[in-house]
Amino acid sequence: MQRVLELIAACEQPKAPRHQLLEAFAKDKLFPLVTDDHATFFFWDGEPYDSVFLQHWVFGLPSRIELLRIPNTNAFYLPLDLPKRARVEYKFELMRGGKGRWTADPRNPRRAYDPFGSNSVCPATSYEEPGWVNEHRDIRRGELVQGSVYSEAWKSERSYQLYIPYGARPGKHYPLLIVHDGTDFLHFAQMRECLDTLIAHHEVAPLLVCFTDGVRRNWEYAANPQQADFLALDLLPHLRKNYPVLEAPEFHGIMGASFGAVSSLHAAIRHPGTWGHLLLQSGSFAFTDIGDHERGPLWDPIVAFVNELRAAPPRIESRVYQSCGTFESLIYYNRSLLPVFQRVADDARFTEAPDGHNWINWRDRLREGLTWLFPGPLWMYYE
Amino acid sequence: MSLTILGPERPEGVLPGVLKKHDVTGPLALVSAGWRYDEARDEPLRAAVPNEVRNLRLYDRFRVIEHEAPDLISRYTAKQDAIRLVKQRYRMRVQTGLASATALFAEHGDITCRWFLQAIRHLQETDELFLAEARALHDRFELEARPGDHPLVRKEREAIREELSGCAALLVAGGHVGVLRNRCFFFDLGPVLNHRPLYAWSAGAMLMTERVLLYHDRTAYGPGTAEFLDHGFGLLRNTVFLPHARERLDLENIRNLTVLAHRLAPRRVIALENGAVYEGGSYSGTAGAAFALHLDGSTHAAGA
Repeated sequence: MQRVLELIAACEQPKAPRHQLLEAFAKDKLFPLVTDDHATFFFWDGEPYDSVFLQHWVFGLPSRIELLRIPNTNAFYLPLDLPKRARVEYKFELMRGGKGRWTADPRNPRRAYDPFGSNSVCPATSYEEPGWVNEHRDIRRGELVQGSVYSEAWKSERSYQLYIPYGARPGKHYPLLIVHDGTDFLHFAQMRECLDTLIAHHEVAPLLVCFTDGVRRNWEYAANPQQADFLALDLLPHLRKNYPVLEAPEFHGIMGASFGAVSSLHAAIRHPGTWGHLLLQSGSFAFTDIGDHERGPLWDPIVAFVNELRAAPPRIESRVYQSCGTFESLIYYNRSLLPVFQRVADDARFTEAPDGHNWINWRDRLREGLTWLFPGPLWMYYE
Repeated sequence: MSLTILGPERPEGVLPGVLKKHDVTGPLALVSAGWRYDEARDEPLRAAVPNEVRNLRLYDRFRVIEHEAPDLISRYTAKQDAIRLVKQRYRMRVQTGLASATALFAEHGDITCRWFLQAIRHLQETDELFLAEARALHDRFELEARPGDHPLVRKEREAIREELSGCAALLVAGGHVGVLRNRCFFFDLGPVLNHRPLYAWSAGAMLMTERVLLYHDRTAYGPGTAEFLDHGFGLLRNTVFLPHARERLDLENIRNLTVLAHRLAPRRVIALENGAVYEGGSYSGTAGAAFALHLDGSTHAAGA
């Protein structure tokens, strides 16, 4: 921030060479400028704008914060508190003549991708990308095979991708994890690479992972009984018949993020005793104590489901790993459900992280979730 | 008998230099069952030593027996399941015992406190009970199933001895210490271990002591509860080896280290890092690669 204040002071001087000052300031710097607990956002592309806004997804801050103009220039800046280990995804909104245009930060090469495109990323200095998320040269990769199953529940063919861990032996059977939004988890959360590394490091047990996708995703995942039936009555039997899946429910897990977490929880409650492990990330567990939820009709079945769950929680025959970002509006709902899970599930753990509702947050929590639900033989390895 | 213990051999090992120093020139028998399905991937070792390497393929041999002798394997599996059941009880007792000992030590940091010492004795009794029950289950299996009388097992054991008889030294590699232990015991390697120079590293080193301790303080969920896996071959008495201690143990946590050292006393607790060498009763190799854990939770160069 000190450097920005010096720039402002210099630009305020009459006849200051402002273009050169801005060029010198921006040269060879990675933006936003981040110190221990502060980030300074900076935007200047030489074009004139009426104003520039920071668009982010940090619940608790105004979602749209106006950047301050550096006097007598078309450059803008914004200081912001940044909690330790935090990651903030953002875009700039450039306003001119009453019209706005969103753009990634042109001075920040760090991007996070999702099905809608990409965001710029501002990590705190204390945020470290986990070492296990990237492909390693010396780690042998599991296999990804394509498959499909006819679903009685959906009355249609449903495709999936099945991860088979490296070294899977003929005749040996493995635990199974089914993933909602599977293709997105593979693309945006690098889940295949995570599995390869965590299994190779013996942190996670070798397991089969079935990556599934919705067709009308939001509707199907919104506590929809058909989806729960598809998972338990169509997909699971199909996988057990065609692949070496261990039989007992204690070896069957289901996971998802956002609506996918809702669908996972709903599936476990609709078919008790089927899913021994639930990995629920940033669950969209909206509920109401009084009044309307005001999230739109898509959420109606979810709110009804969670309201019922809270009013009369059934026994959940699963171990539940739950995570949520503290920058998400869903943090309140997730925190509220933890005591319910602790009371009625076989076991429950909850992790909060200073991050938002995004794929990197879900990726970064995979180690904690998977090692707890499907612990590998790390304990036994001395190489 | 000549026994040489080494620290972890990955990423780089000292074995080739030690073999050269000991002037071992003949073929080397290798036990790499701890690598499980990668047992046969011994090319790096073959490339690192000039000797011929003969892999005894214990993991592979066991798989054949799994397939060919289902009745015997069924009894073997029942024994392993029974040990797992005992282990569940053991864990319950160890977790509470450890929590109690740690809390009592944390209260005043006094290792002479009688309550602390009594909690340690309880922990030791729990460890002894588990090891005794595990041994009883192994003994009963040997007595009732008599695996050595099974023609296929006898044939494989004889083949292993035959292979060994032509070798100048035996190497026991690290890896999955449970699998390594079980395969070595199943093929009754104990009686032939001391017939020729023996080199064992990491999990292999653990196996040469009387009892094998599993430990890891740096899991995704923090410190695990150290527990005994089972008996080892006991070629080295009064010693517990902790390979990869710097990676796996929180060496800053004096409280936990103190409890661990007391629990394992009077045995010497020796951490083995990459480059550590134990031979002829003393530690050498890379400086600082072998260090002892003392009763006050401090660490010192092994032998000091």
